[in-house]
Amino acid sequence: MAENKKKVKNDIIFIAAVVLLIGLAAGAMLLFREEGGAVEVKIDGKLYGTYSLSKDQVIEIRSGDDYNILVIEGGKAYVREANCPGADTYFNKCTNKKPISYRGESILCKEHGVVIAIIGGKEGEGPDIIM
Amino acid sequence: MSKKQIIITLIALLLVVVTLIAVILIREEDEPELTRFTTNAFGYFDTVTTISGYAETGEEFQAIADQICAELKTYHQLFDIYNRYEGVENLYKINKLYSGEHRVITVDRKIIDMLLYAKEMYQLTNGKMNIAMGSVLSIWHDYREEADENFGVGEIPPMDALVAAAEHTDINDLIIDEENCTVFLADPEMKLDVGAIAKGYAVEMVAKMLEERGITGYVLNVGGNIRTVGAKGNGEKWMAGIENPGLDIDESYTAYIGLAGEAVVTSGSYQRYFLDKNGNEYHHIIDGETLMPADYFVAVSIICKHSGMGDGLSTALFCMPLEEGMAIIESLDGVEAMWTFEDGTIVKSSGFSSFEVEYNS
Repeated sequence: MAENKKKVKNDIIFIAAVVLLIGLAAGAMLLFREEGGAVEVKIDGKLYGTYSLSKDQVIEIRSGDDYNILVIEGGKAYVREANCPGADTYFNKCTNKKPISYRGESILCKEHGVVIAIIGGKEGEGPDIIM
Repeated sequence: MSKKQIIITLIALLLVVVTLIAVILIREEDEPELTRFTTNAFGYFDTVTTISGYAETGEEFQAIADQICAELKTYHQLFDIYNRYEGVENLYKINKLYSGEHRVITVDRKIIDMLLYAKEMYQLTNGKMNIAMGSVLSIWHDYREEADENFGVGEIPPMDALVAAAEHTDINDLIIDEENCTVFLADPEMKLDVGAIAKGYAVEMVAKMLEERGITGYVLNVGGNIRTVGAKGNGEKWMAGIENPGLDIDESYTAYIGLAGEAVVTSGSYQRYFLDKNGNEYHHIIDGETLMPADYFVAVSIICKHSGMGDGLSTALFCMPLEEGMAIIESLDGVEAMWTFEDGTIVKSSGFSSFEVEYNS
């Protein structure tokens, strides 16, 4: 009898451990699913490409003679270079914008009709509107 | 396996299932029913349009965003002084088609309403927000365009040309016949430039359209003319960060504002400018008195109900001394302003802080 009880106790401990592990695994999976933001690039409203934020890469966004060099680095995206007129002097130019990483953030190049926006991933804790 | 062990195993399995369901349920409860979506568009008012809003599905949001864009397009075409559109009785007719002719011009009712509003703003701003300044502004426009083509470096217009143009900027020469939807320029040399008000006015009209349809939880941003339609989907206020124009200062924002249905508009010298050969900056907000870019401040922000008023006031206050602007703001209910000087000094109107919110980065 005593041995049986011990067996049952062991079983309970074992099963509890399994439950805990499955719970942790499920939690981790759900957390992981929340990540996975991507950079979506559109030119004149048409999808040009979608790039994972988790992979460091350099993308040349090209349309005719126009180009913007998009860099994804350490989970953030920014424009390193663009050949639009006034690119160096204008406050609003894409190359002067801060790196983006949160859902809904975007960098815009009006001259080239390029929209670089973060889709999916986490929502930022910064202001809803920047002006 | 003994009966007991089977029962225990079954209980354990049940626990696993219950745990998983609990995890999923808790997660779903954490997530709001409404999701925030954002879309960007070009092509309206020569600037960038950003629309954010809360909806249950992306399709629902897109349908509303499409309606907003359709409305913006209508206003953009009506208020466009440079281009003609098939079947649109727009401002181009006044400024280009019949320019220099003494004739009564029929335009769309929406234009009449906007022009009347602009005349009200002229009175409110001691004449600083003057849509009759087109002849002067078109000269600056041409020089700016030329600089744009040359990587932001150009020349400034000759003063005698500006002075000659300034002879034709009397708002009283803009004769509006409300009943017949016509406009008559008593001074045929006069031109209209609605750049200081049309965007904000259009945004207000679109926001009102959404409100009339009971749509809430949206924010429109057309080139810095921001109008919130209700609070956010979760009931919180929208938080707007006013970017610090001083690039050498560490703080990214000069103020955080909470909005639920109000508009906020900033006029800044840093938004659009070109350089001359010596590296001097010439921005786009021209003072009607000096005929040169106004140099009182680097930015003026206005919070108020009507986005068109915000647009007009921010431009006007940018072109007048602090004391004069402060007197206007303090005479108005529900209108607040913030001035940012070149050296980083910030002055706020008496009620501005009631809109400010805490933000812990």
